[in-house]
Amino acid sequence: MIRYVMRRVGLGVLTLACVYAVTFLMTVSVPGNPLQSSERRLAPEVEAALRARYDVDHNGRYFLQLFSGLMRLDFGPTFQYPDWSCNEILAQALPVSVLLGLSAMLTAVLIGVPLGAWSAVRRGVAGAAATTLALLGTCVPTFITGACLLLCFGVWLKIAPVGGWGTISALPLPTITLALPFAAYIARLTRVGMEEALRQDFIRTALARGIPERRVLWGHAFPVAFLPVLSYLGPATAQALTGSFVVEKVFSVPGMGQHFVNAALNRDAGLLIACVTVYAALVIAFNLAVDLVHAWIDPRVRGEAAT
Amino acid sequence: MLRAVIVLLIALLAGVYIAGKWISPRPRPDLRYVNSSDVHTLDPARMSWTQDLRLALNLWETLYACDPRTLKPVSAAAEFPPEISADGLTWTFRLREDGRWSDGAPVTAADFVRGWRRLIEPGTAADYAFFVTDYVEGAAQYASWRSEAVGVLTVLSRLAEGWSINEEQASVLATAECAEIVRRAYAEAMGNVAEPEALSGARIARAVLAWGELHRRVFEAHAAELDARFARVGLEAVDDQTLIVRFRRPCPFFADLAAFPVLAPMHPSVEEHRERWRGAPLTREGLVVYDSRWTRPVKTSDGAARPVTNGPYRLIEWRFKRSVRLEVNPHHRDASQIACRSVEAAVFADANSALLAYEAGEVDFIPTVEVSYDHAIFRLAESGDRPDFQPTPLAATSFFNFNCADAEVDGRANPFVDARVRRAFSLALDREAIARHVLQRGDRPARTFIPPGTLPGYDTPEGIPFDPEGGRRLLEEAGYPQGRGLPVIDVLFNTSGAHPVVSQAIARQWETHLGARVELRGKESKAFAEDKARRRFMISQANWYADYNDPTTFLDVLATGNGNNDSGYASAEFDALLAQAGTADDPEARMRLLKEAEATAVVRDAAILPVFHYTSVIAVREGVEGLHPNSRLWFPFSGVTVRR
Repeated sequence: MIRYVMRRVGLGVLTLACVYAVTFLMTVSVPGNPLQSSERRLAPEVEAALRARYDVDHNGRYFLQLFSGLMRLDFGPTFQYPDWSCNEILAQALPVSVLLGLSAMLTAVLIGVPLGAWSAVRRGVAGAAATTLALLGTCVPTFITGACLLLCFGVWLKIAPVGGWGTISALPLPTITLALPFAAYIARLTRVGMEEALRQDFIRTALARGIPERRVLWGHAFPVAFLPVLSYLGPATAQALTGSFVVEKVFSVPGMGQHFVNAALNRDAGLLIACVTVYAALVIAFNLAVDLVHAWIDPRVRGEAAT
Repeated sequence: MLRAVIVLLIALLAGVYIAGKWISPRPRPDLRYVNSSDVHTLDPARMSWTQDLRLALNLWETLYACDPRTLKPVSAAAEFPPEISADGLTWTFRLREDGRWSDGAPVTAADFVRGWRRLIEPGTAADYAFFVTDYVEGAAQYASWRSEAVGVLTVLSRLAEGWSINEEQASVLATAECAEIVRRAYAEAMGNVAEPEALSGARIARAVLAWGELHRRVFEAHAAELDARFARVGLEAVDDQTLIVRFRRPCPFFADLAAFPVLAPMHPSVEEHRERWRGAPLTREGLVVYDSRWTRPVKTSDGAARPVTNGPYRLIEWRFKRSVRLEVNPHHRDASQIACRSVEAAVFADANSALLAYEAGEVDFIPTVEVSYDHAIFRLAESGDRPDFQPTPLAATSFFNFNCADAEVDGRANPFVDARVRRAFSLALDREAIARHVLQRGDRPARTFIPPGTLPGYDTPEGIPFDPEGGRRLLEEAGYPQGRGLPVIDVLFNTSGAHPVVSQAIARQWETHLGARVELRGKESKAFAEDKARRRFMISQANWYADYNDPTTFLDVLATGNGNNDSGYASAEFDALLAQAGTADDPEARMRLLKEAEATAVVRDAAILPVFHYTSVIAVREGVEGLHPNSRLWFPFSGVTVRR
C-alpha cells in the first residue's frame, strides 16, 4: 500500500512538472504583448525596461525565475494588476472558489445520488421525472440557469442579492447553478451503476436468502453502484474548486475561474501559470485521494495495486 | 460503505464551515456604484483606464479639478487661474494653504514635484508620462537619460550574471552615453580593445567578474547624478506653496492636464516603498520601482492609515475583484460639507448582472450601461419611460485606420497608400445607416475625427459626406474603374463589443457602392493589438478617447512618428499646421489652424475613416443628485447627495 501511494505521488509530481513546462512554453509562444494594457503604445525604451524588469526579455531566464519562485511557492508578479502579486490574487480567490466548489459538490451529491438511485429502483413516472430533471441539468447551460435564478430570487422575490460575495445569502444561487450539471451527471452515473448492480447474481442471491430488500439495495447494491460516482468525484471536485468562469461572471463571484480566462486573454504569463499549476495540483491530489478511497472501499483495487 | 459516505459528508461540511468564516456582513455605503471589472491599479501615475481614473480623482486632489458640468478647470489644490509669464512658457501655481493629506500634513509644492517625477520614471511605464515629457522643459531629456542608463545597467547586470545578450542589447552598450567607460573597462579587463557588439558568448563568460565590477561603477555614477540631473527639469518648488513649471513650448491647455489624476501629488511616505540596491533607491537595473503593495489600504503599527491621499476621500478597503471602499478624508477642507460620506465601487464582471443589481436597488449608479441589449436600453431612455437612464454623448470616436505607409501588405499591393482611394472608401460609407440601423444606441455618425461640440472653443470642419458617386469617380481616377483591379481589401478588427457587426456593415457598403471585395479578419484583443502594432492590415479598427479639452488630444495621434499613429500617415503639411498652432499666441487663430489641420488629415487626405462618436447610457437611481453626465464620464463624488 505504501509503495502504491509513493508511486502515485511520484507520478503526480512528474505530471505536474510536465503541465508546468508545457504551460510555460505555450504562454511564451502565443502572440501578443503582455505589457501593453491600453490603446496607447508604450515607448520602446520603456517597454525594454519593463521586459528587463519582469525578465521576459529572455525565455530561459524567465523560466528559471518563475521556477525558482515556484520552489519557494512564490508565483511572482502579474502584468495586468501591478498592485497585486499572483500569490495575493490566489489567496483571495482560492478560498472563495473552495467554499463555492465544496458547497456545490455537497449539493450535487445530495441531489444526484438519491435521485439516481431512486430512478433506478422505481422505473415508473417518478423515474422518468428524475431522468428529465437530470437531462435538463446537463443540457441547460449555466449562464441560463444563473440568469433565471438571479431574475427570480434577486430581482422579483428579492430574497437573495444580485451577485456579489460577502454574505451567507449570496451563497445559495451560485451554489445551485454550479451544482446542477454535476448533480445531473452524478444522478446518471448512480442510476446506471445501480441498474447494473441490481442485475448481478449476488443481489439475486441476497434476495433469495431473505434479506430485506431495503438492506440489499443500500447495503449490497449501492456500494458497488457508488464506485463510478466516486471516481468521478475526484476530478469533478477539483474542477468545482478551481471555479467556473461563467458562474463567477454571472454572480460576480471573485473566484479563480475568471483569472484563468482573463490571464490567458491578457497574456499574463505569471498568473496563468499560477492558475494552471494550482488547478493541476488539485486535480492530481483529488484523483489520488479518490483512488485511495477506492482502494479502501474495494479490496480488488488494493489487490491490483499490490502486484 | 456507509462509513465512507459519512466521512465524505463530514469533510465537506467542515470545509464549508471553515470557508464560511471568511464571510461576514458589511455596512451599506452612502453611494454604491458598478465598477465593471476591478481597477487595474490605484497608483495614479500608472493609470490609463477610466474606472481607475474615476477612483483616483476622488482620492487625490490635483492642482485643478475638472468641473463635472462644464469640464473646465477650477481651483483645487491650487488657486485657479495660474500666473502665466508673457511668453506663456512659465506658469506659477499657488497652492492653497488649507490643502491637507489624509494624515493631517499640509500638501506642499514638493509633493507635486515628487508625483510628477514618478510619472516620468521609465520604471513607472506611465501611459500619460507625455503630459510632462512633451511639455515641461528638460523632462524629455531627463527621461531619455534615465531610459538609456536603465538599458545599459540591464545589459551589464545580465552580463555580470553570465547570461548571453542579444545584438540589440549589445548595441545599447555601444550607443549609450557611457559607452566610453564600458569600452575602457572591457579593454582593461580583457587586455585588448574589442567592440562591445562583437562580444562572443565565450568572452563574456570569461569576463563575468569584470562585468560585475563595471556594473557597480556605472550604477554608482548614475545614482550619484540622479538629483542633479532632475534639477534641470523645469519643475521647481520655490516654497511650500509655490510651484513653478517652465514649458519648452506653449501649452495653453495645461490647466486641463493639471486636473488629470495622473498629475497627482505624492506623499513623502511613498518613497519608503522603493526597492533599493546597494543603498541607492534604484533596482539593480537602475529602475525606480515601488513595492506593489503601497496602494493597498493598511493601518500601520503607529495608527496611521496608508496610502496617504489628499483628495476628498481616502481609501478604506480594497478587496480584490470585489469592491473598493472610500470614506471622507477627515482632514480635507470640505470634509464637513460632503454629504456622501462613503462610496463603494462594487465589481460586477457581467454587465447584465450589473443592470439586474441596479434594478433590484442594490447599486445606485452605473457609469456606463454596456449590456448586450443596449439598443433597448437606449430606446427606453429616449422615450422618457426611464428618466434614470441618461444617454450621454462622449468625447470618443470609433474609426478605422487606413494603412497609409506600406506599399504591400501580406504580399498584396496596398491601394490605400493613394489618398484618392482612401477618400473614395470614406465617401462610400453611409455612417448615418450604421449609427441608426446597425448600432441603434444613440451613437452619432462621425464625419470628422473630433466629436463636434465636445471641446469648448473648437469649431469642427465640414466633414466627409456620404457620396458613393463621388467615391466611384475618385476610384476610377486612381485606376480602379468600378473597383476593377483592387486587391481583396483586408479589414482587421477587434472581436469585442459591436466591432464585428459594424465591420460587416461597412464591408457590405463597400461591396455595394464600390464593387470592392472585402475580407474581414476579426481577432481577439491581444492578437489584434499585435497585428496593429506591426501594421499587418490594410484597414484596422480603432478607438480614441479625449484625454483633455483640446483638439490636440485627437490630432496629435495623426502626427508623423507619433507612437499611436497606427495608420502611418505622414504629411509635412499637417505637421506644419500642428507646429504653427503650437506656437500661436492668439487662441482663436490657434483653433483655426487646428481646424485646418483636421480638415487636411481627415477630410482631404482621409488618413482615417471616422465611423461613429460614442454615446453611453448612464444609470442613476432616483434620489441620487450631483452625478452630472458629461462627455468624459468624469464623476467627482464630493458633490453628490443621496436620498433613500
